[in-house]
Amino acid sequence: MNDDDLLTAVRDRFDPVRMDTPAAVIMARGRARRRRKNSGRLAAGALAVSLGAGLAVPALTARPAGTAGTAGTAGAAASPHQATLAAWTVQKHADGSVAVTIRRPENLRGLQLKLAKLGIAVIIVDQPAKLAHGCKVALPLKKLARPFTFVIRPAAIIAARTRTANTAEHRVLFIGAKPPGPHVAPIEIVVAACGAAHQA
Amino acid sequence: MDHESAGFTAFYEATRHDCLRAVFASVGDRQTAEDLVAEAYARAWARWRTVSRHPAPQAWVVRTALNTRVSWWRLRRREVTLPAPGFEQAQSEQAGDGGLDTAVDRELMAVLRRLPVRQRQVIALRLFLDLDTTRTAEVLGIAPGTVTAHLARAIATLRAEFSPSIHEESWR
Repeated sequence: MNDDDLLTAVRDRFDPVRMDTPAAVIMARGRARRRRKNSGRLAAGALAVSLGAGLAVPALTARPAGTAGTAGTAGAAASPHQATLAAWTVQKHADGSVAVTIRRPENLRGLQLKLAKLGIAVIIVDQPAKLAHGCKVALPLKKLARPFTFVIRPAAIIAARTRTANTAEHRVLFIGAKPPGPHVAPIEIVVAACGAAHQA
Repeated sequence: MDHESAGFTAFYEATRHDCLRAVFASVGDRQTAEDLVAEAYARAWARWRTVSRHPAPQAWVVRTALNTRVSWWRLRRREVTLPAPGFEQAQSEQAGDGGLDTAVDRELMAVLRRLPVRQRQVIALRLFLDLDTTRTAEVLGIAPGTVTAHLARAIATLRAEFSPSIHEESWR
């Protein structure tokens, strides 16, 4: 068997591998991507014009695409040269995942509502102690310095519900953010599973 | 359907299977390969005027898919994934049924996964996109001589570890 025969044999084994996604789905995804890119350019252009005109920017919310939180407090009163980032930002990706960046644990209720609008049923609390009674902390994910970003995959939450057939309606993922205290520098993110009866 | 859409659709229909096979052979995971290829084609459509003028658009798609994999890895390397209740059982059931990889010979996939990444990529581009040495070198950003060396080593490994199964099959 020469090299060509060997490579042909290898290629033949891949014949059953086929891409089934319709072209229309790909093109819709590409159009969404183009829209996001263009809106990001427009936002950047508007920002450049504002800065060029010498205007003070009270808050930069860093939202090139998707939706962004507006919980940040304005820093305009302090100095026209100061800018304060929003307390948190929510960005939906093309694959359906949602990236959440928390800079300060403020207005977490607003963040929870924003995520709910995106179809993600999570509860955000500023202290693990505020998780309802009966919530079992499943895993302390990581201790990170601020700001920190985590990605939520709605499909994973749905899968968690559907795969526990007998308790399907009684499980949901919770994400809690513990703010840094005087003795604790980093923010702790915890993910916990709670019964539906204890949802806030 | 306008001219651009028709052109992209024709390109997608003609090349999608081979691009998926090339990326699958490179990354070794079917589901990831499908996600990467879909993303790469979406990017190609988003900048179709440029990509359509590329000398080998399908190579652009595969290169973009492989680059995207690195980007996703960077983005998600700090994530910790929680297994959903019943997930391991579902996975084992899927493995029992064969899963997505069963379409391709498991032994062949095992051999390909053992190859170094570059050798896998060279083999994939050569096999499924039918690129010559020069074009493969351009796509991967390496010297043509390196492509030749990788290809020779990959073929030697395949011959040593995969050829016996071909002979076995011919005896059946």
